[in-house]
Amino acid sequence: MTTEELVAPGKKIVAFALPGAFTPTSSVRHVPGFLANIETIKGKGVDTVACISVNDAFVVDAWGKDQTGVADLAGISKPRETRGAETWSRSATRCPTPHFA
Amino acid sequence: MVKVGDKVPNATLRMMGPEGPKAVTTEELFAPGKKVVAFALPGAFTPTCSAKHVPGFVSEFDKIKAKGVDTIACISVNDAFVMGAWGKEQKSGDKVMMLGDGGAEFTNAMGLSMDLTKNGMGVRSQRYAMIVQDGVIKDLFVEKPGAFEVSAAENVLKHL
Repeated sequence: MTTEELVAPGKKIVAFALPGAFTPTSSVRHVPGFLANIETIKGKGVDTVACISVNDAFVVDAWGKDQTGVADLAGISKPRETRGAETWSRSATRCPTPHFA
Repeated sequence: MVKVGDKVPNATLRMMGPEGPKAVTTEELFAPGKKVVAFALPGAFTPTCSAKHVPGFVSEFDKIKAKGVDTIACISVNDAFVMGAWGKEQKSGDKVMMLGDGGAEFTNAMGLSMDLTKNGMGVRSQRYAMIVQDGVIKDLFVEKPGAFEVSAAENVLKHL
């Protein structure tokens, strides 16, 4: 995913960045905070909430799955698939063809 | 690139412990008197690694240990948090040490890095396995790009 797509004209984005997937503060507070408030944020006209970290797409995707589990505990009622699409960038364009991996 | 007969280069790796990441030096890992099987791969949570490489060593653990191997270690250019999470998913438990080489210090010293910056992955490790006795490389199995054959647990086992 290019930043041109992510922050395209006409879109309002909230992006947050952190030092690493699966790190304690990020996992326990940063991402869950955005997940727990996703409805409120969307209610302000935000199109996309994006989490950015210097990890590869495989790791961030695995972490995203892990984190939506945390959100279940927080009592968010939206279906897991919907939340994932809103919150995580795991598009095929970003994820390299893993022939080397 | 290192070759058979070389001493394993010195570097500090990191693994997840109960209190958080802890340093593991190659001097400790490949200490005199120890026989170690180490394998390296391009990244945690990547498809081939997850589907085949790590599970192979987990499932062949007993046979490998029976050959007098003290430690089995998995090394990847990821941090300890990611390696710890991946280890849980892979159920590597006490069988395979999941070691992060976050800054690629060890991988570069081995001469076995590759640049996957264009794939959004930065500098990573080639896929390989090695048998190390007393800190010296006894066997080295480096995969051709994209291959997964010689570094598999089944092949390493044949050489122990």
